Order: sequence, then structure tokens, then C-alpha cells
Amino acid sequence: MFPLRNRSFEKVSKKNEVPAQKKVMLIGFPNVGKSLLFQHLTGRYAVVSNYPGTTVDYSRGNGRLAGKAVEIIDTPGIYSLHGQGQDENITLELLKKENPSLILFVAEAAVFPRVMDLFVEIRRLSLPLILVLNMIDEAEQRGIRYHLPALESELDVPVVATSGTRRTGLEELKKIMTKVLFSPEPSQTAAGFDSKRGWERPERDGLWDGVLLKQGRHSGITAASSRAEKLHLLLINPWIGYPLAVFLLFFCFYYIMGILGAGTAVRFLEEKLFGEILLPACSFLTLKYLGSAFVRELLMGQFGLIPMALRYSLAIVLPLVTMYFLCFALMEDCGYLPRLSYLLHKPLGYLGLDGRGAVPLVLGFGCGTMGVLVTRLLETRRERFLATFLLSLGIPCSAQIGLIVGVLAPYPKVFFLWGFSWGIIFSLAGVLLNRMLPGRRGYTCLEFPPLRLPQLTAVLRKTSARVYWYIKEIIPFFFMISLVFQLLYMNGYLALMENFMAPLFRHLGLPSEVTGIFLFGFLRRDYAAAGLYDLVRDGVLDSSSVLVSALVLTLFFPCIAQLIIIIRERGYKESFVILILIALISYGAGYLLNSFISAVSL
Amino acid sequence: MRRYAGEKGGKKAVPLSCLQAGQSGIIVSIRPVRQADSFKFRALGLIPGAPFLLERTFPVPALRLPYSSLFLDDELAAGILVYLTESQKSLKKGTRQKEKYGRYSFYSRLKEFFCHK
Ligand SMILES: Nc1nc2c(ncn2[C@@H]2O[C@H](COP(=O)(O)OP(=O)(O)OP(=O)(O)O)[C@@H](O)[C@H]2O)c(=O)[nH]1
Ligand SMILES: [Mg+2]
Repeated sequence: MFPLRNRSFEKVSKKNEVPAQKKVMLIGFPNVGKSLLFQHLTGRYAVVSNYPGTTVDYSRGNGRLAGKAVEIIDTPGIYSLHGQGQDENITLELLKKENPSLILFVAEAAVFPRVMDLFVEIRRLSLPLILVLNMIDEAEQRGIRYHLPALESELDVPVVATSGTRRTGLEELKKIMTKVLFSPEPSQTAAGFDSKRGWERPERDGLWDGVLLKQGRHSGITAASSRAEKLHLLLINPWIGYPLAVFLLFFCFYYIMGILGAGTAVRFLEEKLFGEILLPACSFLTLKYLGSAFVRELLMGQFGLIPMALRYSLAIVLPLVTMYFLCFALMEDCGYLPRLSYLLHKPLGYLGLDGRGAVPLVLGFGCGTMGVLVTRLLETRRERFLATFLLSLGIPCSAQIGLIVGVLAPYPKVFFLWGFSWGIIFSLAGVLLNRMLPGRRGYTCLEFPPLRLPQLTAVLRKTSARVYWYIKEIIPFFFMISLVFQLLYMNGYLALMENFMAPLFRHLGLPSEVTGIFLFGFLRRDYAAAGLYDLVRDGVLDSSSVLVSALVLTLFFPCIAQLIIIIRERGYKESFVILILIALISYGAGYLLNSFISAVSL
Repeated sequence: MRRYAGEKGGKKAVPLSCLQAGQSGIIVSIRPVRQADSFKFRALGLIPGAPFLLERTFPVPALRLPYSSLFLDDELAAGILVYLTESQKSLKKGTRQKEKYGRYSFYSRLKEFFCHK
């Protein structure tokens, strides 16, 4: 029950008497600013957002204290050392394994009394400890002030007040860290620890007498008074919240990504930059300087690296993904997502998820691969499996949506039908799978973090970190696929495969040209959507086959990058099940839709 | 007449799920769930003795506590017993709802049928 008894720690610390490098662990409740402090202490980027559970895995970085390197470890936030969530397990394992020389216990200053239980638990570990009262700026705004020396003597640990966003108190924190880490005398916490009784839990009432200089809000609950609280009430009001969510989604996808992204940016980059300048220049240069026809074909052929991989990735996909990541970072940092979780909690319950499921699903609209990574924020394996399945089946990524919306926008009726059939299939598949899968969702109790004004620098930094990740992890696949396809094409295998697959698509009422797109779809969904875009531009497809192919593409296999991440996160068996289900569902849905269309002859 | 576990000395504890939005009170007891959850509840400030304000009941209950605000499942809310604050206890059944919307809503009548009988 209590995996962390003091004795186990004593043993570990005797084994490695002289640690090579001092380790400092940041520990605390979720959403108290640990990752932001980690950024300031190490200069390395760690994702910071305004909802609990942002950090799902630990990350390490090096900081310098008094000229010496120390290792700093950022951990997922925990509520208790005895929890059973994955985050708690990661932090627990880390505590046992790493045997840190110092723990920075980070707490939100304005609501510090909440953390006493965890604080006492951590103090029982009798490791050197510093209490960091972070977000002191917010506490001061609410009129809460602490008498730090009194708090220090009450709790018997060094206390520092900091603000990650305003960067105050950081120097002081470093100074105290240096003192605790490199001073020869035994640390304050180890002294005076009664190993039999452990630390007494300080009396809550007595403790606050000398410590809280001034308390802003009385602890009795009053109706919402501040502006943020009133806004919070508006956001969780279903009459306002649901229309707002739909509006935001519409605004994000139709306006920012569809019109601004797919329309303006893509058209400029694709038609002007690539169509008129880069492609002609490249074909001229390759013709002139490349002797080998084979290499020239590889570079400039129909699926060649430059017209396909480079053009699609830079001119079509990257602008859309960047736009979406920007929108999402704004939503994350202001604290809108937990309110959305509240509104979607019930509906997501039918899909076997809780409100938190909204985060990976909404992020999946940007990049499904990233969405799958974020499913770790969910508590149970069952929920993670369901979320991964839904992400792979039905959540089209930003590139795909931008293009599908771009393709379908001229036909509003088709667009509506696409959305409608997508919604039905998605929810039906989710509900049925939830019913069939054994087990059920546990109870949920989730916190609303305060609404905060997003900081522009933080938003830009997060967006650029994600775009960088996208370029590093996803774009190389574009080039790989392009190469594979060009080779297949040049050897005539592509035509063979298309012939082999064409009958399958004839049942869906689609012309044989579409086969190529779906072959792409095996590898990258957005790539395939871009192919669809080309076909419609060339006038190969009529509106009913556009509808069927858009639907099947939306539901089709995840792209290869996502598949690799799914296998890594979920293992071969679960990934295989997911793929089989998706193949059946997407084909079945396309077949049904086609029969329906020909029956009512739209 | 249905009786609740927290009932004692004339003061009646009611399940949180039976309150209407805007009502406040003090948490009396929380039906034990998984142990891991109970640690989390403590950490979130959902403990017996804590004053609360019920901000919304639909789609799921949203609570404000002294140091946090949170939402929970309906099933969980049904297992949390609370005392209403004095001023509200003296209100007649359904008056608050009536004041707010001008008439008895079907929903509040339904609720009363199940909760107050
Ligand atoms: N006002 C204010 N906001 C802060 C401060 N430090 C962090 N924040 C904000 O608090 C939110 C949470 O910060 P994170 O660093 O992601 O918190 P975390 O502790 O790493 O959270 P988890 O990874 O979920 O455990 C972000 O929106 C930050 O911008 C601070 O000192 N003052
Ligand atoms: Mg973090």
C-alpha cells in the first residue's frame, strides 16, 4: 500500500554514497508551473499549458549552479504518492530509481493549503527539500501574502516565492538550491526527523496563524466575483458553451485553415512559389546538370522528391499544420480546454472516454500522430486504446481537413452530407466499440485550472517547438514515401497495384484514378487528400464520387508516422486490431454511402 | 420516507446530485470509491467538512470548493452527502427554482420526487 517507506530510501542512498552528478527533481501537483520552472532552470524547452496533466513523461536537462552542472528532472504532476494513474507511477518510479539529491516541491501559492497532504508525504522521504511557492504573482493579485520566515520555521524547510511567468525569485531559488546541494552539513529536513513517528501532519488552523499575513478571499464560498470567475461560468454554461465550441471549431477549420491556410497561403506557396518559380527552375537545373535520367526522374518525376515531397510538405501541409498548432496553443494556454472537457464529458462518456479525452481528440485535428502521443494523459489502458482507435479512424488531421474542406467548399450540399455521415459513423463506431470492449470507465473528478491570459511568447514558442517536431518527425516520411512511390511507378508496379485494387473501388462507384490516392492513403492521409485535391482540380471526379472518396479517406488508415507511434504506444496486438477495424469500417461506410447515393440519386 | 446515511439530529443530509445549481452547503460524507480516487479527492479538497457551492448541475455537476473548482460524474455526485446551509434549508421545496424561472419546471419536480420524498 505504501510503496515509499523511508527504509527503502536509506538502503538506496547507502549503495551509491557519492553520486556522480547531483540530481534535482521538480515535484508537485499538476499545473503548478513545474515545466515552466524547468525551462528557466535548464534553458531546455518542456511543454507548458494551462491544464493538469500536460507533462506525461519525465524530462531531464542540465542546469548550472555556482559553476557546477546539476541534472534537473521535470516530472508529471501528482496528487498523491499513492495514486494509481500512469503519471503517479512514472513519478514514483523515478523517485525510487533516481534518488535525487534535492526535491523542489512546487506549489501554487494562492491555494497552498491544498497541497499539505502531498507535502507531508514528500517530507517523509527525508530527502533534502525546498518548498517553491510558485505563481506568487497571482496570489498577490488576490491579496494573499505570506510571511516566508514564519512559514519556513513552521514547516522546517527552506521556502522560496517565485513567479515563472514574471521570472521573479529565480535567482533566490538558485541561491538556496546551491546552499542545500553543496553545503557540507546535513540538510535541514534530515535533522530532527523522527523515523518512528515520521512527520506530524501540521495542524491546518494553527499553522496559518503566523504565516498568512493577509488572506484575500475568505474560505467560505461566495458567488463568482472576479471577472475570470464570471467568464468561467459563461464558458461552462451549455447554452453558451456548445455554440461557442462549434463556432470556434468552425472558425478554426473553415476560416483560419480553409480560407486563410488552404486558400491564401497554400495558393500563394503552391501556385506562385512552386508552380511559377521553383519547379521550372528545378527542372531546368536538373536537365542541365544531371546526366543520369534515373536520378532526374527520382527528383522530378510524377511522384518525384521535388514536385511531390517538397511541394506537398512545404507548400500545402506545413502552413495548415502551423495554423492549427497556433490555434490549439492559444486554446491550451488560456485554459479553455478543461471547460470544453466539462461540456464534452457526457458525450465522450458514451465513447468510453471522460472529459480529458477532448484534449487528444481536438489535438488530433491538428496532427493525429501528436494526438496519439497525448492519449497518455488518459488514465486507463482501455481509454487510451479507445482514444487511439477514434483518432485513427475518424479524426482527420489539419492538412487533410484543410484540403477536404477546400475540395468540398464549392459544393455545400456535399460538404454537409460529408460532415453528417462522418459524424454518424464516428459516433456509431465509438459507441459500439465501447459497448463491446470489456470493462468500464472509472469515475471522474477533474479540476478546472484558473483562466489565464495566454502569453504571446509562450504560445509562439510552443507552436514553433511543435512545428519543429513536425518537420523532424513527420516530414521525412513524406520524402521516404515519395521515393518508394517513384520507384514503384518507374518499375511499373504502381500500375499493377492499381489494377489489382481497382475492382475494390468500383464497388464504391469510384473511377480507377482514385486508386492511386488510396494507395497514398496507406502511407499518409493528408498526402492522399492532396491527391484528391489535384483530381478535383483536374475535373476527374463528379460530386458523388468526391463525397464517397472524401468520406472513405477521412475514415481510412492512419498515416505511416501515426502507425509507427501507435505500435510504439499500444503494441502490435492492439495496433493490428485497430487497423482491421478501420479497414472494415471505412470500406463498409463507403459502400453504404455509395449505395445510398445511387438509390436516391442525388 | 427515504433516509440517508448522514441523517442525524434532525439535520438531513441530501445527495449532491439532488441539489439545484446555485445551492451551497457543507460536504458531510463521501461514499468510498477506489482508494486511489479517495487520495485524489482529498488533494482536490473534496473532503467532509468542506464548504461548497454548486455552480452547475447540467451536463454534469460543477462545484466550487475553497481552494479549487472541479466537475464530477453524476454517479459520484450521488454518493456525496451534503448539508445545505441554514438560509437555504428554510426555503420551501422548489421555491428557488420558481423564483428563478417563474414556474415549476418539470425537471425540478422530477428531482423533488426522487430526492425529497
Ligand atoms: N500567473 C502565473 N502563471 C504561471 C506561472 N508559472 C506557470 N504559469 C502558468 O501555469 C500553467 C501551467 O504551467 P506548467 O509549467 O505547464 O505546469 P506543470 O506543473 O508542468 O503542469 P503538469 O505538467 O500538468 O504537471 C501555464 O499556463 C503557465 O503559463 C506563474 O508564476 N504565474
Ligand atoms: Mg509539466
